[in-house]
Amino acid sequence: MSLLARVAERIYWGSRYLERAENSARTVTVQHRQLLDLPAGASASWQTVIATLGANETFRERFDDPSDKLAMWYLVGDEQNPSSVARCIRSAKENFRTARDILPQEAWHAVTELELVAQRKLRRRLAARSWCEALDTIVEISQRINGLLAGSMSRGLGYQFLLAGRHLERMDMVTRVLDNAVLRTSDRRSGSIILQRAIWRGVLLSLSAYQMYRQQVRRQIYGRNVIDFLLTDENFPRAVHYNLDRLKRAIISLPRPRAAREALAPLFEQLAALDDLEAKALDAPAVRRWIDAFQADLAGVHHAIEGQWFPSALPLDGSNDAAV
Amino acid sequence: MGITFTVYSEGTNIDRAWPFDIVPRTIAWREWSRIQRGLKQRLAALNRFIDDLYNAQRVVTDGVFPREVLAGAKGFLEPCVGVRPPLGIWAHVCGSDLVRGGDGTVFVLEDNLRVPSGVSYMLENRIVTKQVFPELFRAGSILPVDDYPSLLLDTLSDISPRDVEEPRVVVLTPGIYNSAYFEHAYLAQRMGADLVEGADLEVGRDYSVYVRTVRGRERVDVIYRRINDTSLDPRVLDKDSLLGVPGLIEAWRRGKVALANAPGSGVADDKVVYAYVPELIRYYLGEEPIIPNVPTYLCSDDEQREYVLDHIDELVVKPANESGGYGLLIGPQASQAKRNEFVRLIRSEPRNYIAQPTLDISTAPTLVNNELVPRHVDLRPFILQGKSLSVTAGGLTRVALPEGSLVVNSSQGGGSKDTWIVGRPG
Repeated sequence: MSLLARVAERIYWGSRYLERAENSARTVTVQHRQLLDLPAGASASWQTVIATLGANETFRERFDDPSDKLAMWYLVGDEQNPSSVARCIRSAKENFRTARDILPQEAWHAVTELELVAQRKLRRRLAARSWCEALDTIVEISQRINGLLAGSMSRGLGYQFLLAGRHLERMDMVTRVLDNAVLRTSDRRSGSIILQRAIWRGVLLSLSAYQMYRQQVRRQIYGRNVIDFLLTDENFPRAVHYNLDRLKRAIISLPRPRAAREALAPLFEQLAALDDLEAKALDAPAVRRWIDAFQADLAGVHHAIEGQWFPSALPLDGSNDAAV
Repeated sequence: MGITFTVYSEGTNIDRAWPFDIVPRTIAWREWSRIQRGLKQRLAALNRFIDDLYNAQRVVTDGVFPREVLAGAKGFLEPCVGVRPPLGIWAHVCGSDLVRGGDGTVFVLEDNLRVPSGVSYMLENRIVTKQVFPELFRAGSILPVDDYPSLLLDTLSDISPRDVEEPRVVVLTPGIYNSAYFEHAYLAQRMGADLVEGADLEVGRDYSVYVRTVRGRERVDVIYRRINDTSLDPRVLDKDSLLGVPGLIEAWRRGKVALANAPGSGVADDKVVYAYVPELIRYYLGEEPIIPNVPTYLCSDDEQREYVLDHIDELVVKPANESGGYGLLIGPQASQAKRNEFVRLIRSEPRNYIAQPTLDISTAPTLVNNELVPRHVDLRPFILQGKSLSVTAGGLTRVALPEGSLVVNSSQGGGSKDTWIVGRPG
């Protein structure tokens, strides 16, 4: 029995939103804690986080000269911001709701729990400390959902779409975070080595990569090592290379994967080309160009998945009939 | 708990908790076995009746069922005339509402033959009481209910147009805003069937129905549809329906796909038709009805209408074609203005109203503010008919939570209880 095209699409998006909510939650708490350490005026304001999470323009339109509190609210609980943690959770739930006959029941219950936390804690204007506690809970429940899915969902087509969404979203997030860090560290005002290191430590923390980086790299936190680790490590589950491998595995286990597999090829080529790039010397413009190109190709993979398997793309005339 | 029920008018909140009373309602096996036989008898007769109405109409020519009543039945669908669904069965799933009157007699209050809901609550309620009273279950005398999804799947597989080992069964839902969406998902999950929306299905040039999957289109054999007759096919019935599947009725007429319940089944749960059911049982089965009807006055009959208008303060007046407890008059409790309004309504559309005596409906102990108090209850068992007939052990007991209220419908603030059939010998 194969999976409904609509359900595949909802699972894929549910998975992306869930991953996005978790990443954003972690990024916001890390930022909040880091702000407390940094000297006033260092370029680590909320605007940079907002830029990372891709919500800059609507933010500027709506608020001029916002307070830190307001900026944090915008990222955490603002229903009008499509990338706020609360909105991502709602989107995840709405997508999973119509696919809930496919998900293990406990996982669906955990998704509703996530939404309850968002409703009770994130959407209300609480003290930053309470928000951070709630965000920690969000991360915890998200991890539990991933555990439930890993532990009790059959590795059928539904699971592969879940993985595809997760790995794509993770690569997108890692590259965004890196892009933003490169931008900030190339700013002349963040010249001090301590500040630079703080920024890169923040990057590692917000991707829960700090400990694994320390074990794997065993060197000081320099930008070029962090970039190298987060892009090319094949074993760390949040590194781009690892996720690209996994995305490929998920895609080739789907029916008729050719178009989507071909869309993956340029991503592998770009990773291979990294060695020749000046990345290691941390030429900021070159790294940012590389990231731009990589993200464009990621979008290409998304469109290939959408075009191959989701309902809008299936012809109505029967030319796509499966053997019955 | 995870059970929710959507009430259409509650704004954006689409999940509302389902009020559950922990005190189970018990029925003795000896009595239940008789009721069970009565329910099977009733559904068998109703299916014969529906099949007859859409084909030879023997029941009309034999003078058992008046042609005028048929003419006024909104549930009678022209496109269904001449169709012979598999096994001659139209209503595969029936939810009949039972009440116990003042002298202990159990009556059938109404039959729901369109898209009866509530069975998932019956199943979930049992899970809760098992957690709360495990030691009572260990004694082993309470009949289990959890086999329902398997029985439903068997019934649905029985009517597959293709003779294949595992026919493809799907559950067709109107979507997440429907009050019973939880149940649709629940049953799909437990039957291992796909939960589909209209947009997932399409009718091919060969009139077969296909579901859009990630592998392409795959043929569907049986659709357990939980959307109304009129929304099924925008080409035939409600032209504005976005929920249905264009061409579905034609596919069904040609026998390429089975629909459960078949469109047009609702003709037999009209409340005027209800009054004739005892006669229909005698006519089709040659048997006496095992469970009686509540005495029913038809406002279309001059004499009976006059009685209703004279005694409106004693009677319950119901519209013939509504469900969910909407548009109801409970004479003894209503205001004079409301009664006058119904007098006008009955006079202008007599065919559309029936009346029944206000029953002294039985109560069951119910926990309210930590105290056991009597509350009125009814019972909705679910009856399945495919190659064979089966009835749930008990069913969904619905309870009217406000003191003195007689309205148990979940859309009107009713709650539910687990129902225990106890004391089966052996």
